[in-house]
Parts: sequence; C-alpha cells; structure tokens
Amino acid sequence: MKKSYIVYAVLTVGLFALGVVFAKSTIMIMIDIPSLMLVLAPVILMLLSHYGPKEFVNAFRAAMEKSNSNEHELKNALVFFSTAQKLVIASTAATVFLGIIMILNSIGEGYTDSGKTVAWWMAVDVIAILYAGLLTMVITIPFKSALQKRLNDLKG
Amino acid sequence: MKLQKALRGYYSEQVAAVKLSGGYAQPASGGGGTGSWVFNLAFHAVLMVLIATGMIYGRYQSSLLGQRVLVITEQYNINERVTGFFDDLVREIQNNRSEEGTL
Repeated sequence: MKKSYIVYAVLTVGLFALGVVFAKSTIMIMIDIPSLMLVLAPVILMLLSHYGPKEFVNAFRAAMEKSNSNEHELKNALVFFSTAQKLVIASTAATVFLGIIMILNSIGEGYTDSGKTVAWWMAVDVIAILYAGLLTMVITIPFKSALQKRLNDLKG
Repeated sequence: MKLQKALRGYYSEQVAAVKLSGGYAQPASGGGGTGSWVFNLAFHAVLMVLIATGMIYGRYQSSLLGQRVLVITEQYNINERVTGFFDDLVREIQNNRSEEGTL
C-alpha cells in the first residue's frame, strides 16, 4: 500500500459526497450513528475474539509498502482483512434483516409509535448497506489486495 | 577463528531476535505479540464507551434520513395503508376459503 492511499480513499469517498451535493441534498443524510455501530461494532468485537489490539495495528502496518513484515506476518494480516470483510457482510445482513423484522412487527394494529419505528429502522437498513459498501471498498478490498501483492513480490 | 567469531555473533543475533512466550517463539520486538495490557485495556475501554455512546445517542436522536422517512410515513399514512393492505389480504383469503377457493 502506497502512502498516497489516503488521498485516493478521500477522493473515492468524496466522489459519493459530491453525488449527494449534486442532488442538492446534505451530507448529513448519510450519517446514522446506530447504523455505524450495528455494522462496525460486531466486526471489531468478533475480530477481538482472536486478534489483539496490537495485531489490528500490525495488520494495517503490514500492508504498507515500506514495512519490513515477513511472510508470516503478511499472511496473518491477509487473514485479518479477509475475516473483516466477511464479518462486514454478515453484520450488515443481520442489521438489515433485524430492521425488516422490526418494521413488520410494528405494522400491526395496536402497536404504539409504529411510524417512528418504521422510519428509524428503514433509515438504519438503508444507511447500513451504504456503510458496508464504503467499508469494503475503501478498507478491506484495498488492504487485502496490497497484502496479496506484497506476498506475490516476496515469492518473486 | 574469525569464522567461529562470526558464527557466534550470528547465533547470538538469532537468539536475541526471538523470545519464548508460552513455549512458543515470538519476535523480541515489534511485529508480533498482542501488545501491553495497558494498551489492550485502553482499546477495549474506548471501544465500549464508543459503542454505548453511539447506541444511546441513536436511541434519543433520530438521524436526518429517519426524520425524512417519518415525514413520508405520516404524510402518506403509509403505516395504516400497509396495515389495511394486510387486513384486506387476510379478509380476502378468509372469504376465499369460506367459498372453498384455492387460497
């Protein structure tokens, strides 16, 4: 991974933000804290079940072009990002289906405040998918690719 | 003699490069390991606080998209329409069954 990764990542996210601006909307429409928590927190918690916090840092560091990580560390980092990507997909699927269940549950008669529940979960569902897409595109895929490239270079 | 010295230096470097942890060889510095307990504790504490704060914030402060969807559901009475749709569907199935239909 080159140092210019940050620039390209910002440009990629900026492109989507620009789409929102062109649609004469506000960036705040893309912000939903519970969605972020429901997508990201299970990923971090499940990764913590078999990786230490320092290994999180090492996995990101290993992908960098100038790191002096050996083959074993590169392979471990690759497994880290592969697992993270699968967990992002799984946590998003769980969030979306939980939302659908909650919406279906709230549209029965006698359920108070059902409009709010429908609106809250509908927003969570849609924004959770957006966050999963962004996380996968900007973090897991580039880091996996960079690590695989470094491993290929090591093998010659 | 020179070769012996060189080899001694090489082996001492190799031995110094690893440390034993739970019977397994770990790099002596950098790279591997799970980090100090202070860092681990701080990481977990910050993570838990962030998750709790995020969920509590989300419970009491609806997102902008949530507010917009609420306006739509209330404006177009989507909730009652959907409930009405299900009620009609159930009624239609009951009528069909009473008439010995295929539903």
